[in-house]
Amino acid sequence: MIRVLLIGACLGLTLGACASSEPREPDAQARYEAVVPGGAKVSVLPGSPEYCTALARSRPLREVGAAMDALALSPGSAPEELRLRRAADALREIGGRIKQRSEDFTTAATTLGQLADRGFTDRAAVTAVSTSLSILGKTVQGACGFPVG
Amino acid sequence: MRISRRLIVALVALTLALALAAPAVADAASAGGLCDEDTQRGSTPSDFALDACFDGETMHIRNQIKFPIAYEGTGDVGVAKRTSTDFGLTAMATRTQDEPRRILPGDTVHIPVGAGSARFLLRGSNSTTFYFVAKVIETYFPVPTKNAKEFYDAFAGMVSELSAGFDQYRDCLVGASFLDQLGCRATFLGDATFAVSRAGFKTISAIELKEIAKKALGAIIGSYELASWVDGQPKQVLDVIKSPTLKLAQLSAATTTITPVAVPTADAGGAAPVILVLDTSTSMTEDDGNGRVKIEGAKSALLDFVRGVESQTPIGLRTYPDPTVDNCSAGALQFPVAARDPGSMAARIRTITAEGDTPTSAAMLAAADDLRDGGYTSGTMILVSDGESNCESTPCETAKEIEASGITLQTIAIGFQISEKGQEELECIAEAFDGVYVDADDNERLAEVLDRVSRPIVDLGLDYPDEVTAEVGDDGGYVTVKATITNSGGQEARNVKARLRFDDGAPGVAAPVRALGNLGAQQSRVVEWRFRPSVLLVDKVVRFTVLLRSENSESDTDATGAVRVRDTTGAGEAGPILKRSGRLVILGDSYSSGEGSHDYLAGTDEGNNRCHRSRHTYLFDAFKLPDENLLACSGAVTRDIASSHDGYRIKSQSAQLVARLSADERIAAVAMSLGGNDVGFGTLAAACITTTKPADGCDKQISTETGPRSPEDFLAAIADVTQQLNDAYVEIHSALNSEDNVRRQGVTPIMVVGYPLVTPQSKYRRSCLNALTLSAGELAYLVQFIHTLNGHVEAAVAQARSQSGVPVYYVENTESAFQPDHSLCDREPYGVGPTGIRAPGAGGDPIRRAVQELFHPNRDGYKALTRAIIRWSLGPEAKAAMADLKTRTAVEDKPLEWNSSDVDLGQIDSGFRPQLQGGTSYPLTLSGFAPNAQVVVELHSRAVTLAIAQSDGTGRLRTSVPVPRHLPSGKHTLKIAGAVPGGRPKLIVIPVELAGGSKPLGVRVMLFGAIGCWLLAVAGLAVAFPRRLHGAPE
Repeated sequence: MIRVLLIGACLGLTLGACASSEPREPDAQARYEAVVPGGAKVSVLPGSPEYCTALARSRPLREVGAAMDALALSPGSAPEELRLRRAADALREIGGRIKQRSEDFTTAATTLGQLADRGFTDRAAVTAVSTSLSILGKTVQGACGFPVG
Repeated sequence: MRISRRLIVALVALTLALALAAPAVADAASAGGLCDEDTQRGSTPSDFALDACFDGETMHIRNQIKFPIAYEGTGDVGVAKRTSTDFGLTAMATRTQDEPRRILPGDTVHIPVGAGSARFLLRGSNSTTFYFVAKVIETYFPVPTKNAKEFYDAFAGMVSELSAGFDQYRDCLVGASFLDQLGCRATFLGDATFAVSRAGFKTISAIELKEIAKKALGAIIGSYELASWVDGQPKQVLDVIKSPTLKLAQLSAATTTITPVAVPTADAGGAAPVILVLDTSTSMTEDDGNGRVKIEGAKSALLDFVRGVESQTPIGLRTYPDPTVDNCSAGALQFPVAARDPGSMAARIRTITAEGDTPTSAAMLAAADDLRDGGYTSGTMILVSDGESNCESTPCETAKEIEASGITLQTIAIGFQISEKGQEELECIAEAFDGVYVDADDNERLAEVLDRVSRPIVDLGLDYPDEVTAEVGDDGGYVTVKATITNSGGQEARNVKARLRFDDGAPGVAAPVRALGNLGAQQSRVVEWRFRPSVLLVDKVVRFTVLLRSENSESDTDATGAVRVRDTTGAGEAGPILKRSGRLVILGDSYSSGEGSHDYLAGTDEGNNRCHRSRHTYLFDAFKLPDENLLACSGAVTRDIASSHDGYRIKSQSAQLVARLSADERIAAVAMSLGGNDVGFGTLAAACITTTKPADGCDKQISTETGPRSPEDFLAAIADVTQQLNDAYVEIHSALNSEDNVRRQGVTPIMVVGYPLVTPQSKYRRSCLNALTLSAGELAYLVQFIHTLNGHVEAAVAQARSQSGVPVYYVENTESAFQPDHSLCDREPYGVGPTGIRAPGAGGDPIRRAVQELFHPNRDGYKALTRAIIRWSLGPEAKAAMADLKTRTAVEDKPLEWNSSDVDLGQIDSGFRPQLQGGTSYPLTLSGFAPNAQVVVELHSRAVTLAIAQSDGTGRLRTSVPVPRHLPSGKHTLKIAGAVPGGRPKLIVIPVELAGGSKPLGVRVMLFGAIGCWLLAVAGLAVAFPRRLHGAPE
């Protein structure tokens, strides 16, 4: 019984540690790692809508750049495809919280999923993901005011 | 991430610091090894970035740093010679890039300097990114011993694309949020992937190239932070490189007329001087024909010129003759060559009068001296005269003397209402100076001409082909745009830059911006760009604009061009997999039968047969196939490959295929699409377009004949088709690649075509979606559905090939054949939308047909599919398929290996259910058929055609019936169908039981399910209690 309790405690501590490694709710000037090399930081304007914070805090979304690099190098890499699909899920989930222009989130999510399926050898998939992310970026920029590179 | 980036930046900074510090350290020795420096005329500044040395006659500049640098030499400089030490791949490839004054690392240029002044400065090279990228990846590309030039070109082409990608990536990042920047990254990665894969290195095998491409791409990705940093900080880098300039003082001993101290040189950023030489002979007092005295008009034009000429341009004015001295005198210098002073110059011009003869020779000699007195050895002379010389000397000869005396004059001779003889004289003068002659009929024209010569006028002419053939894999397909840039004005155009820009951003081109430096008056220069439109641009027009800009032109100049991209896709250009001996056969469903393209073959658009076979389907026309080879049928499912079509009363497609083979048809390959009907794509399409409210959309719920289903279920069910497709491919393989057939013509491949996406993929107009009655969510779901379906088709193909030994290959590029410009939302759609269904008054057959045709390709769509398939046949996948084909053999279930049974299936008592063994061949003897009639033997209920035979002349059938091993065990029905004499159908039904076959699918699933659950359970236990299992200490 003591063993079980100890295992439970360890598990609890581990999970707690995992949870605390997530970025905290950002304050007004909070900054995160740059997602794109040479590019913009990810932080949100004070008072911006909740979905902006969700976008900025989304770890899967911040991993898209690295996942794309790795997928370009290793077409068909299941872990990288999974990372892109997680980012797609995150976008869908965030898009689901808003009423207007949620289709831009859905489209970006769909195209990320396609990129995961098709890889960088499919020109159409690459163009689609590029365009949809750009459109999404412009859609949310007014409200979120993400720093620009 | 942060540490890594800082580290990279620090490394770059260190590299640059070392690179740029080197010349300063080496300065003292810069002359050493390069030349014996002669410091009388100037010396190399200590902070000059490159090793440089002037020996009194030649300037030597050596690039000892790690980047290409360009130099500019102005003044009295000649044509440079170059010595190189680096003949590596990067250097050789960079040399293919057009940039005449570039100095590569290790190169030394030797530039002759005349007696005049000269000035050298360094600037950043246009090839820096190219060089950097090439350097990063060169180790992965071993230079072959043969065809090295071809290899350099291919490598350079690839690097050009990659470096253009870098430039675009950097531009793309500016002003973009992190989301935008992810998009930029996707574009960059896509471009890089395509650039490497498209390079087409003939000397490297496909497999090696794949590996090389991966390494090269890895190197690129690993370094593009570095590259973007270097390129993204040009100011810091180039400021260091550019700042010091090297001046050489005038050689005073050689030109006694020049004061050694005040030696004005044409500043690198300054303008060439102008000396105006105006004929003020008596004839200039005449009327110009428009009621104005010529000299007054000329003065007015000169006033405009002085006002309009650039402020930096030094100008002087000489009028001739000076009657106060002599009627044939060299005239008077009204104001010497000096910086423009409009007020005093205008006052002087207004005092000019006309009187005397025309001593052109003397005036020109004096004008040359006027320039020299101003400290110049070159400049522009504008000579205005209304008559031929009438004093001593021949002006043309004088011009040649002046030219030979060491002064360089750009000359514009203007004939002002001049006689024919006078014109000839001025033309001769202009020719001697390599200048131009211009006619001015009246004062107005003179003013216009002088206005033109007061400024640079940069004109642009483009030369390019009207169309180009898009090429895949091989050389060719390049467009060369040749821009001829002419300065037709009278002033030097400074810092001229030409930029090639594509209206739609594609295709990429290496070095889109070309810096031409200064372009002298009346000079021309030609710039060429070379690009290769992607095959994705087939049937499109690539529009581009060349923009010209110079520092001192009033406005930019541009010219546009357009090149139509033609396709390669005649059958003759197809790859070997489509050009095997024999003809193609098309099997499968509506996307192969030609549904949507109309003109259906007779008998295929009727009540009991709506196969909708059309000659407009893919490959049919291009390969001139006979109608009999089009066996695909609209509505076909996987079951129809092995069994008769339930509704249309037509034989199984494999039976039809066997019939074609029996007719001695040699089959080159089978092309097909299949699976869409099995997963209910038609039902989905109808559901999507019949809902009008987003809340009821097909992305929320799908109405089917058996009730509503969730979109997730619908998607998940696609996975079930994989096994059925595998079986269908096995069936076709069995029919196609029997030992006999393989002996005749080798193993015949099966090409499975991916379903094309007819809707837009991402970009769309909302009005279009409204017209299609699709919400954004429905569109996204449809796109996802097609992607998923094609993914499973591709997986089934792979499974059939690897596990069942079927020579089947997936043609993937058909999916995007209509993207991005020919979807249903584009001006020229390649698919059939719902318009026909909603046509006013539509009903009955028309509406049924419209529903059947919905979301299928139209004629243009099938042509696009043909192009896609042919392109695929030229690509690496088809080449790999051809290699794979050689490893394949005839079907495993070879008749010779089958067991034989003596049980004659035609002699079994009624009421008795015989037990048949899979993998056994049974004799069948029956009589009572029409003579020489075809008889089909099928096994039901999962219908499989077992044999197609022919009765003999007496109506007797004697054949053997092979029962395959892979059929499920259990009760079946043997159906023997033929006709009796007179044509009436004859059907014999024999109940049988099959033993030794495969387990039914349900059993297989249960078995796998059970094993999977067991494994999961074990794995779950291991994860949940790892420490306990391993006895971890507490």
